[in-house]
Amino acid sequence: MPNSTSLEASLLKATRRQFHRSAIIKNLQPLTAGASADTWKFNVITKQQSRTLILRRLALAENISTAVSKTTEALVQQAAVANGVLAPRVRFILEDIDQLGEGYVMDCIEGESIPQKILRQDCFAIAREQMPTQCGAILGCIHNTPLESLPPLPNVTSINQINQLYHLYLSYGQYQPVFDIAFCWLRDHLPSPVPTTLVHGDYRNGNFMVDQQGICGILDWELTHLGDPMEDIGWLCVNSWRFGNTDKPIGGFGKRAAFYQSYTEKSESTIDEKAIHFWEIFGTLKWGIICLFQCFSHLTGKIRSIERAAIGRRVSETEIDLLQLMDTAHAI
Amino acid sequence: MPFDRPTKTELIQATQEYLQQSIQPGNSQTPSNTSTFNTRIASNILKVVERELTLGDALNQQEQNRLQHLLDKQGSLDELNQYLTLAIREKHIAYDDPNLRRHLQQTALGKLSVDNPKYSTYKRLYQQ
Repeated sequence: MPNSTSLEASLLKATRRQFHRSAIIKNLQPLTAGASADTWKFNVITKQQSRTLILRRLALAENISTAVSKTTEALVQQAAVANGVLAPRVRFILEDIDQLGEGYVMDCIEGESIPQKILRQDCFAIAREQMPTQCGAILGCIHNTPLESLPPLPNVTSINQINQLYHLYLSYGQYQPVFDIAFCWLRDHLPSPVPTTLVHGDYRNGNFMVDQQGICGILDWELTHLGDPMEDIGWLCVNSWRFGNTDKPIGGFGKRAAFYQSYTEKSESTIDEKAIHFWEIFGTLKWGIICLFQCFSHLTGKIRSIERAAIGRRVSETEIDLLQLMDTAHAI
Repeated sequence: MPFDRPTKTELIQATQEYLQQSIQPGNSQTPSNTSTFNTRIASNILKVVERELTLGDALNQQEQNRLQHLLDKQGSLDELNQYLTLAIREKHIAYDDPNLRRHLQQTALGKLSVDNPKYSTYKRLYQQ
C-alpha cells in the first residue's frame, strides 16, 4: 500500500501542472473495486470549478493475460472515447517528472458497477430495459474504433490465446479432465479468420458503470488488444457474468436478439453465432483457469487471502457450464 | 477428480487465518464493507466443508467406481483421474465419447452439491 501522504503531494504537483498552479486536492481515497490496478478517487478544486477524478496506476497484482501498459490503456481509452464510446475521459497521462509511476488520471463517472445490485434493485428497473440495446451499440462502437487512431497493440489470435491458457493450466499440475476436453474442443473448432478490430478484452457485467438511465461508462481497459470482435461477445455471455439470470445471456440483463441488432447497426463486423459460441466456451474455460490461478496464488503464499482460497471451489461451476456448452455445440 | 483444491483442511486454514487477522489490534482500518464481504466468504467456506464432511466419502466412492468401469482399471481416485486426463490429452479417449461425458457430468454435479448447490446450472439440471 503506497504512502498516501507522499502520493497526495506528488499528485498535487502533477495536477497543478495540468490544470492550474492554484489547484488543490481534496478527499483522496483508495477504491477497492479494480483489483489489478491501484485506483484512487479525489477532487480537484480550482477557482473555476471542482471536479471528481480517478487516478489509475499499475498495481503489483498479477494478471493471467498480458495486460497492456497503463499508458497504452489510457491511449486506447482516449481513442475509443474519440470514436463515441461511453467511457471515462482521460485527463492526463502520468510522466516521469510526476514520480507517481505509470498511470493516468481520468474523469470519475458516478454510478453503480456491482452486477448483483444492477440486476436486482428496483432503482435500476428502467436501466435494465435500456441496457441490452446500449450494450450492443457501445460494443459496436468500440469495434469500429479506427485502427490508425490506436497505439501499438498485441494482435492476439484464438490459437495463441488457447496455447497461453493451456501452459498456465499445465503449470499447476492439476488433473481436470473437463478442462482437457475443453482444450481439445476449442482446437477442433477454431473460428475462421476475420478482419481484426479493437477488442476491449473484459467487456462484461461488472465493468459497466450504470445509472438509473442505463450504461453510462465502460471501465477496465487493461486487457485490450487487437483480435476477433466476437471474443468480446462470447466473454459477455459467460454464465458466471449472468449472476443467476441464465435465461438472459447478455450479462444477465438481455436477450441476444436485441443486443445483436443494436450491435450490427453500429459495427461493421458481422455477427457470427458459431464464433460467439466458441468464444463463450473459451471464456468459460478462461474463467475456470483464473479460479485455479487465484487459488494457487493463495496456496503458494504469494497472496494469502480468504477470497482467493474460496474461489478455488468455483472451478466446478465452470466445469458444469463447459459440459453443457460443448453438448449443445452439436446443434450449431 | 475428487474435490478441487483447496482441500477441506486448506479451506479451514484459510478461514482460521482470516479470523485471526480480523481480531488483531490495529486492524480496524479495514473498511467495514470489505470485512462484511470476507466474513460472508468465511461463512460460505464453512458450509462447503460441512457438506464435504457429510457427502464427500460417498461421492468419492461413486466416482472411483465409475472410473474403474470406464477405464477398466483399478487404482486410487487420484491415480485414475490422472490416467483419464492424460488419456484425453494424448487422444487415447475421444473427447466427445458419450460415456466419458456422462461420467464427467455426474462428477461435476457431485462436486457442485458440495461446492455450491445454489449455482444456476446445478439448480437447472436438477429441476429437469
